[in-house]
Amino acid sequence: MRDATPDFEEFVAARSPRLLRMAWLLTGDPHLAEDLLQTALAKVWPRWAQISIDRPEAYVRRVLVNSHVSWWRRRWHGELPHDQLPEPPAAADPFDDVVLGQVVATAVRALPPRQRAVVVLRFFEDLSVEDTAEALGCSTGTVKSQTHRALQALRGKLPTRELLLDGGRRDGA
Amino acid sequence: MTGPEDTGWDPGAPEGDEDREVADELRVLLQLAAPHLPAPEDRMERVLARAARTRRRRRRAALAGGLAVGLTAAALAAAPALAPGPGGTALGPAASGPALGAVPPGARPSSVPPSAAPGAGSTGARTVRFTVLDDVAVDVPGGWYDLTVLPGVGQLDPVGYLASQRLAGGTGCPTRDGRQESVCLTAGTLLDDGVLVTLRLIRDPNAVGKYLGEVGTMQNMARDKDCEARGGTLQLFGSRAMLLNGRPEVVQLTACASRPTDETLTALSKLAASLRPAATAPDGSTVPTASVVPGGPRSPLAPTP
Repeated sequence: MRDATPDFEEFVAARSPRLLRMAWLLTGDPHLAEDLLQTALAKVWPRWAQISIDRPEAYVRRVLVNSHVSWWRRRWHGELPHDQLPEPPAAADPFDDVVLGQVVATAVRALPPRQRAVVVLRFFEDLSVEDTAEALGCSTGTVKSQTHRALQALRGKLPTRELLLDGGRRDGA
Repeated sequence: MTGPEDTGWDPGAPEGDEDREVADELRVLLQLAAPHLPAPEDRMERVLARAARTRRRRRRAALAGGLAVGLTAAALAAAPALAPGPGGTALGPAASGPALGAVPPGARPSSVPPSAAPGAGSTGARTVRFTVLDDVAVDVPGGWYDLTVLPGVGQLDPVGYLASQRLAGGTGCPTRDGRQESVCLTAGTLLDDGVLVTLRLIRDPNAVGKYLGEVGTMQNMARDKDCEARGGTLQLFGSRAMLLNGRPEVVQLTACASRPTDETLTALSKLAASLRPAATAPDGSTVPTASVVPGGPRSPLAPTP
């Protein structure tokens, strides 16, 4: 086996934490997230010499998202997209990091995989519609419609900004 | 009426406001929710081990797939009257590599470095597989370079390049007329006996019908301005209809050559005749063997059929 080039090692060391968080949002599970990240990196490594040094993260991000969609098609994860999202735990404190993570992850995970990918790319990675379309290999119109549907599905299922602000004041008190 | 389906954000519409509100909250929530997970110390080793396993699996699959290639070629040769799809049936984009169109700008030239810039008549042919061109395979003379340019935003199809000289892509290319060239010859122009070949797909079933029976012979065509700009003295055109991913498609091949020798022209004919569908690995892997660079502006090197 060839040794990894310093470039690749540096990239993995520097960018993996962010990519792993993204993978977690896609999978909702830390082990699957690490598996997904390693899968993506293993796909990228043989082609590293051909990948631009300018924006390798965009390439890895795309491989990661597509790998996740591919997983979804090939494997049964016991998940099903639903029209109706589950309600967040009523008694939970939304400002508890763990609970907040669960609430958000549950809501995002209930989305179909492409919508989930759009949400993560647009609102976690903060990509433009155009960049998201490029990353997913689809049209900007598809990204817009998927975004709209995802946001419609998520409406009312997430802690609101007012609650967040209240929580912030409470925490600061 | 234009809804979100068409326009995405529309601040004037109620849906736009509501979407924007949810989106703003989502941005904050996702950042708060995504945990900072610990990294395994041996992540790099695991990644490299996975890559090695994949490489071994593909090698085995390629060996097994050789038989399938032969059978496919034999079937196509035995059935030249390949029927196009039903009238009016649009052939959708084929399933290509997972990274289609998302490669970042810039790329290095082909990973096959010849010791010198050989002409097309060089021996030691190898097979290049353009996975993103719906898995077309072609035999090229030894020492040639290959490169695939993925479609940029608003573009439809990738383009495959083969050349007897080193190719560069993306930021390795100069700008021309204010546009960054997607692919270029690192020498700037074609050397004597140098060739640049472009491969494109036509997925129109009606067009497929026109090319049935073509066996990949190359014919002279008028040089376009891009070929002239590259120092080409001769431009050739060929095409071949074949089943790719189970669908009838046409592979168009254009060659721009500079003072080609007879040997080079013969090699080009062989190259064109060798166009064929590549075997698909049993595991469904679609990793391209051709070097890949992103799209951007349509390459001025790419001819307009």
